[in-house]
Amino acid sequence: MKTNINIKNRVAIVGAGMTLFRRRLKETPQELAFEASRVALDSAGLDVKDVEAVVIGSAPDAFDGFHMKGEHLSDGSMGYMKPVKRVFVGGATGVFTAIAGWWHIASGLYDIVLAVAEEKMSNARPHPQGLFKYIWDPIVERPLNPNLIWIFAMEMHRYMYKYNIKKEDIALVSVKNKRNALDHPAAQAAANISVDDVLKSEVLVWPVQRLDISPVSEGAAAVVLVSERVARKITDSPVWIEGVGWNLDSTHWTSRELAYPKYLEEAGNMAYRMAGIENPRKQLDFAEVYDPFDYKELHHMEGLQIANKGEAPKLTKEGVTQRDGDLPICPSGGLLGVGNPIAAAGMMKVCELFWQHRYEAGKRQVRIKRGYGLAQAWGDLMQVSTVVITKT
Amino acid sequence: MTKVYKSIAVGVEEEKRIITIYYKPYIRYEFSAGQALSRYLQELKNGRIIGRKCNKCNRILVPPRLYCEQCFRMTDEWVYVRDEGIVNTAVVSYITQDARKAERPEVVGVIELIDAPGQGIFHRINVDPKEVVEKTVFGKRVRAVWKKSEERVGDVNDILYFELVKS
Amino acid sequence: MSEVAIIGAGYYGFKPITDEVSFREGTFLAAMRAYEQCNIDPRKDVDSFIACEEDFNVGIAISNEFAVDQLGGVLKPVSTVTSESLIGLASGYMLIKSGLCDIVVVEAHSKASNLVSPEKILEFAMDPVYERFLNFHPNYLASLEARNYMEKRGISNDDLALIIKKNKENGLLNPRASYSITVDLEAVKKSEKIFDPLSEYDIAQYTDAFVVVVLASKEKAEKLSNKPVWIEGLYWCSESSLTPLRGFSTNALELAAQKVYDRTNLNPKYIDFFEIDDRFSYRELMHIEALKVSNKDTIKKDLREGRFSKEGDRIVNASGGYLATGVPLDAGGLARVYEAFLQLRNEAGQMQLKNANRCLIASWRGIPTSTYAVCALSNGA
Repeated sequence: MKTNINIKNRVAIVGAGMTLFRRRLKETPQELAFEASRVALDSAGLDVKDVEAVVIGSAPDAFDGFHMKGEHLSDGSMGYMKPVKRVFVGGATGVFTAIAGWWHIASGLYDIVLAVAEEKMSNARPHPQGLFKYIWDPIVERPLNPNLIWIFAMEMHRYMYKYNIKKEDIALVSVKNKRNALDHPAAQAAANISVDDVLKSEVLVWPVQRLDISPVSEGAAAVVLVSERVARKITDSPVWIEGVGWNLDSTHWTSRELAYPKYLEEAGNMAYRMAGIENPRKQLDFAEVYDPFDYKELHHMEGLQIANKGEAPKLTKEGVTQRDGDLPICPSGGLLGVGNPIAAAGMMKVCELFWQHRYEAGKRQVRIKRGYGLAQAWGDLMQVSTVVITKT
Repeated sequence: MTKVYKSIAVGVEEEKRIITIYYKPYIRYEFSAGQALSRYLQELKNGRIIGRKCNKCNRILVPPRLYCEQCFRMTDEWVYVRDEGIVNTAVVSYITQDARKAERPEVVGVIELIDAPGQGIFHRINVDPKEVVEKTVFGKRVRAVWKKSEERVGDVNDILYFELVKS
Repeated sequence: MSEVAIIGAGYYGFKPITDEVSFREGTFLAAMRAYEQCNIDPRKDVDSFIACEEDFNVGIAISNEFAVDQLGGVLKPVSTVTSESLIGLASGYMLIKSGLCDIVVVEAHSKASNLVSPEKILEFAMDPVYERFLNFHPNYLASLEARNYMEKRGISNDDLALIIKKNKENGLLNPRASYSITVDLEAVKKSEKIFDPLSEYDIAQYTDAFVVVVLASKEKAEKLSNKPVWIEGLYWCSESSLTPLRGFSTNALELAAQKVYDRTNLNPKYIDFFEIDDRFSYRELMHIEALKVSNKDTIKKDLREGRFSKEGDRIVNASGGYLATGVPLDAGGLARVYEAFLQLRNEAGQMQLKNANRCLIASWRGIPTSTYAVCALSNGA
């Protein structure tokens, strides 16, 4: 049953492109954005002149080392003399950039929109981690000298405590995603590792160890979004955006239950309602769930109602989430395997939707039986989620 | 299939001869703490924890806010709460703020206050890391250990850490 | 008739320093006023919230984290547009046009008083290869641009003094115009050039301000408000952030204005008053030209004849503009929407213009950007 009767204009993805994800690349931020945009436009068979508006996604300005990073990126993102807008919802920005592109076209104001996400993390010295200090409350949190990994560790440990989840079950996610990434030509951290490797890796902030985390990366990714009218004209295989959802919870994370991402449930429900999905576990073919840490994939599967609370590790153990399983999760290799240039990583997931739906994913290809795919990202102070649902 | 490969194999890894430009931004702030947090910090200096109460949902908010985010209204009154709580979550950090190895491990976590259910304080917890790894610290009762009154300045660090309440 | 209307607007601040509130508390007070005006409960009635903010202006690396509670947006679709607030308004407009949302709240604020060295933050916006190493105050770009423009048009500092006098004195009737004063033209002319040819008078200062605006679909607007203000058209455009690449042009504003005129079948003749960026006195003239309110041949004459004053036939910045209210960082566009909202609803008190039925707002993001947004508002009369 379709419920998105209110939406006036359908939106399709007709092109996708990305750069390599690496710890350091020689390109400037604008050049990275340009490369991804160029490839995306090429794959859509469109020219820069066809683009009517540009949406840019990029995480904290401090990484690239620019105030008003969107302005700096605009000409590199094919935005010269065009409406350009940067959107920002922390780590969830990548998927949200596609959502913002969606509303440009759904509003009926534009027909062809480029959505670009870029991140250059090596500009910040000595280590981009230092900049994460500034994401905390300047008055009640920053004086404690927090490290970014603390919040994830606190959330992970609460999740493990509440549902009695073991580290070796969580590590399976890292093993799976890094292996999946072996088939991704842009991947930075693809590897064949074992659960033991994860458990023996350096402890950073217990319970988080080195191999529980995605690497520091840079890179860019882009998709081309068009209206139905244009899509019918330029391609036989558009990938339709059927649902979008986003949701932000309170800033005061210390007063929230960290074991379950309620905001993701809300964001997911918004997107499911729009797409007419009633049972995501049964109706989705695959999902690119946000996995900057291995436990996050499990946490997010539960928030998306793909698994019951505390039961995502079970599905993982049973092999359901493997590429040849019943519901592959992160067939791309995810952030753990492909890399994590924050906003670009979320956009990489949207690109993966495009390639999978069009059977262009090579060795990463999953079976498309029911027609729906989902990409999700997450960010801020464990507070926000963004969801896109696509259909062949 | 070829399409995909064409689509993603761009980008060149950094080489040694790439020129880098050094720039250190000079960016400083003087944040207005606002009405709610100013009082909170003043009371920390006095060695007390204060919250704001919303008389519609009856929650006590700590750290205090001028507004109740659930009811969207101005909170109504100041309420002192005990500096005691239950460990909601805890972790052991082996790294510093900029990802270097720390000299010694530090335990931090969220303490859910006894007098303000559902409201937590983020702070250091002085406990054996083993208790964290074994998850035995969860649910245990802790109490704030304060700096000496003459050393307190009205900052969250006026609380040194929380420690287990001996029963 | 348009499909999207502004049904409520509220503010707090518009003062050089607002130490009595944190930026969250100030936004809360503005939001409360906006919601009260159209009688909505943000916890039930609002479909989406948009905050317009830049990390370095807020002083938090992911400012979106801190945008939610004070708007009543907890567990709702809330997002950040890191751009000028008119571009944030455009996002709300599109969300409603798409059919996804019926009511959208757009927020923007400036806590410029928290910034110890705003000019150093602006320097951080410049290109590290071509511009930053010069180690100059970013306002020198304005000084170069002003010289260039004044030479081309044969405009003198005496002409700029007319703009300063007009805006600063217009502001005397505006409760939000903290920098308004009566202006002695002779004193302005004698004042020292701090960024030659610009003196202190030519450069608007920063202000703290919190503005919240409520947008609604046609159906909801007609139900919730007896005086909705309609968004007739809007467009935004960027050229390049690198001055050496674009030169001293306002091409992007020209294009944005043309798009709005084309889409709405309007031209400057049909517009009763203009609220446009005047953070530098000469910039008001450049923007007037780009909006085709005047042109390069007539601008000097029009200015000297007082055609842009409240008594003139092309009223520009009756609110006093930034020269009188101060620049509230990226909240500037929404601040102008607030001024227009009052005028179009006939609620501007002593400032009220006669027959104010349609307004054109033009905003700029300031140095070093070339990002502009244009928005046409009307009361439907």
